[in-house]
Amino acid sequence: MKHTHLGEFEELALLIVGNLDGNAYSISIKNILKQKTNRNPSIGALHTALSRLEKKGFISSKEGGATTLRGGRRKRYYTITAAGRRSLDQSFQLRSSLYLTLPKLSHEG
Amino acid sequence: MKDNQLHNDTPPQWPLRLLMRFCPEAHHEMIEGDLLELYRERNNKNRTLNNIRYIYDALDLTWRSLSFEKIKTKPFNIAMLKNYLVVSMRHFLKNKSASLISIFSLVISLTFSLVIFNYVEIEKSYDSYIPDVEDKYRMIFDIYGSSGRNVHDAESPAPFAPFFAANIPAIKSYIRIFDQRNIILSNPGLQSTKIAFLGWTDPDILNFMGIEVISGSGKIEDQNSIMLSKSIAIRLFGSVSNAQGKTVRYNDVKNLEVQGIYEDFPFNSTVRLEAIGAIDVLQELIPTYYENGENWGGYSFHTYYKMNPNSDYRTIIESFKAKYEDRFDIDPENLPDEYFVFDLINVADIHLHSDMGSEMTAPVSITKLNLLNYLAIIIAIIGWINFINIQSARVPERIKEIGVRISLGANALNLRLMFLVEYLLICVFSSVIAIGIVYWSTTGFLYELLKIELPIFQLGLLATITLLIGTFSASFYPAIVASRLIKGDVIKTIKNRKTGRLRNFMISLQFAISLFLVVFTLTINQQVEYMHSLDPGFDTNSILVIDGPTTQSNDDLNKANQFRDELNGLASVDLATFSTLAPGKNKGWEGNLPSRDGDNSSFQKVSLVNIFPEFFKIMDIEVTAGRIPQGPQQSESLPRVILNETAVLGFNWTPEEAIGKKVGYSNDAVVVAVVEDIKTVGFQDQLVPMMFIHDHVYFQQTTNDYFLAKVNSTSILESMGHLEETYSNIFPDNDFVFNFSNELFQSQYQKEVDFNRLVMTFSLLSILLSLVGLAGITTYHVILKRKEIGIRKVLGSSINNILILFIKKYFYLILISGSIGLPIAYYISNDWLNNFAYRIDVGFLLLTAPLALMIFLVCLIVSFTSLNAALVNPVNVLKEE
Repeated sequence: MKHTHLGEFEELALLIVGNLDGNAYSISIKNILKQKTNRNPSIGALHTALSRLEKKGFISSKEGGATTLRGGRRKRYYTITAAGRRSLDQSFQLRSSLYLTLPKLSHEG
Repeated sequence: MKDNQLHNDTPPQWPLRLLMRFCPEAHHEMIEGDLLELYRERNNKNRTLNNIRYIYDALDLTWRSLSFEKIKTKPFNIAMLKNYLVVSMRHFLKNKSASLISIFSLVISLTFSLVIFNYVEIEKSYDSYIPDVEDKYRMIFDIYGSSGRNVHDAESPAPFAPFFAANIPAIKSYIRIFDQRNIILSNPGLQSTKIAFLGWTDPDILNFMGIEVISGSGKIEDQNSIMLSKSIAIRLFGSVSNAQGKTVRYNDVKNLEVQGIYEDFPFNSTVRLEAIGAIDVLQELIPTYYENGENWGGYSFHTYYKMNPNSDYRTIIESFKAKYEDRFDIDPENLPDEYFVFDLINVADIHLHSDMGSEMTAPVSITKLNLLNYLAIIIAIIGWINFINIQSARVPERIKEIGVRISLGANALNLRLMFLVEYLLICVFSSVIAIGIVYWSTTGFLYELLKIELPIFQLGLLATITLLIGTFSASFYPAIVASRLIKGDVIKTIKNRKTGRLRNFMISLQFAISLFLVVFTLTINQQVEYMHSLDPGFDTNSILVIDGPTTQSNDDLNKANQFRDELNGLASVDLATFSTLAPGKNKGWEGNLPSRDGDNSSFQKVSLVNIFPEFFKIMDIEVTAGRIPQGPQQSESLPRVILNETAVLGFNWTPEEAIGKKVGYSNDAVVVAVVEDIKTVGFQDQLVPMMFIHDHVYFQQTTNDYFLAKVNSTSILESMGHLEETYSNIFPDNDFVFNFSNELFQSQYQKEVDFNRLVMTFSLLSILLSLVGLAGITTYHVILKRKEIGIRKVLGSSINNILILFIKKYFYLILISGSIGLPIAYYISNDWLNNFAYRIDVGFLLLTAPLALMIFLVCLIVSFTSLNAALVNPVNVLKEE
């Protein structure tokens, strides 16, 4: 996946999937998002993002873990792929390199 | 899915339904779960607010889901498959009888169809081994007379091949084979063997046929040489290397040096020469006939041509005609009384399409092969129908299992896959068993049963396709039926009219086929019996036929007389003779003979027989006109002949007129007597015109000689030992083979008897499979209706009423089958009977008796399977309601 665009919300979701390390499914991702960013995205928005990420090959999914709370329906667990990880690395490098060359604001004052 | 007790609150259903309509199916489960989980996490707060949020989420998801990717779900993984296999095995073992019925019917039907397909495949492969077979043709030789075609033969006169090859540029090369049967080759003083086919041929035959030469040059030109096939060389000399260069003695008249050894002709070859000699040897053996290869009239040579590639055989046939007319000054506008027509048949077509006389290997009709193919396909289909019917009828048994699987998260695809795995397992298992049986019984009972010969087993294209398609379709259909249950509509599935209708249709089809086969079997059987019952015109029981020897020495006639006298000397023999006709075995040799009656000369095909006067006494044939000559034969003067009534009629004479007339046999012959007709072969054909030749008895150079004896008591059997000893003293190297004429007549009907056996096997098979299938279905049908039976009994039904209820349905089905199957049976049976000159009619009884039998059997099976259910105490079935 060369130069695939990664939206801001998608990037966040991807980071959280990586962080949850095997326990990432829609509701857990949503909870972390809510906790860390104070944003409460709709479940639909989240699924759209996850669906796109999967299409881009940054995450992969498998089904499992049905609970009674879910009425016996299985969850879909997401894991980050190597491509996803690389994309995050690139994004981080780009941001940090740009950040480091940011001119100081002090003379203005 | 119903909610469970932990969570009483349920969100409104409609948004979910809307969502499910638009969202790709692969996401359904996850999204449903997510929505429910979210809803329940908020459960303890305000309910209305919760519902609103739920509705918002659902609607939000609905429109967003339109852009969701269709994710590729992996429909299975190893663990799941393993589970399916385990469950299949358990299920299989849990209900052994039903599983065995399924497997049994599949195995039986597959085995039989595989055998047939294998057979057909082999028959169709005949001669395909010959290199460039598409350019190789065999000449067909026809002789036409004023009454039409009199001769249609695979053999043609020798000089035509070199003549045509020299004058028609499209012909690249030619090969002629004079095939001689049942001759004796010996390794002088050590070993002798009877061989079925010896060919006197043009030099390059092995190359033409693509037969590998093991040693020697592979070309036969030298008149003192012979080439042997590998197996004959081994039989005579022990090994191939021993045989090369040795001397073999041919029929005790000629020594030949073994010039080469070749690989045996393949089993699927119409030409199977075991030894090959040069064609010019015939000048030495039958000089008056061969005429140095210049006999343009006598037809005894299988003539093969290799054409230039891409030449059109039709233009070659036209060239044949043109060159022939040219050579013999024939005016096509004014054809002579007797003229030749030449035609071609591709070598690869000979075995299946030949309708000519004198084929080296008896051809198989393509119609018979196609019929066999149809029968095999029918049997295969019946097997699949059984499988589909039984398995789909058993699906409701598994409602609970399906329910549990769904609640544990199985989706439609999973369940379909589960059933597919299970059915595939049974189908594959059955296929393997069937292939095994076919393979291991290559020459065993199955082939005996079907009366077909199979040298090898090979899985042909049609067989493979049948196996694969059949197996898969038989697995898919019940799997789809099973997965309908996933929609939760169990009852609807069971009562599903469409499925029921389809099943009924399939049952009717099975029984229609069975009925057709039974009627056809009975027709064949009755026809054979009818032919047996007809009177051939003489007492078949009292005629003893002893096969003549295969010899070619100068004192053959003396030896034959010696053995005849031996027979005459027995007390149990009234009179003995020898002739070229064995009553019940053959009808003589054929010739196209003209009458010589002034200008009114007409040709007809006549069966010619060499006899002595005693022949008519032995056979008890009455003389209609004239007198049978007595006394010695006069081979020098005009030969005297005797015609039968059919022959006289064919020449447009009355019996009285015929006496003294001449016919164009040899250099003309004179008719001295007319005798009544007798039937010497089976009643498949009309009476044939016959001519008995009195003055030409050559007891040599033919293998169609027989000793005939009229016996008067069974004590003849006690003399057999003595006779055999005398026989082998007079004719060393020959086997003593004897039959009574009635036995020979029976073997005339062997073809029909074999065919009958074949069709009977299939009809029994078809009935067996259909009944087994029916038993399988009704067993389950009855289980499903246990409660209905209980209620009916409570309301006062008797056991009889209940049985009738079940039987009624199938009774109607059989009637429907009859209305389909019987007209077809009538049509096909009649069509088959039209092949016979003496035939029965397909009567009312022949059609209705099988129907009655079928109804009886079906009633028996249905009452048997439903009796248990009908006897059950209604309390036991209904107590849980």
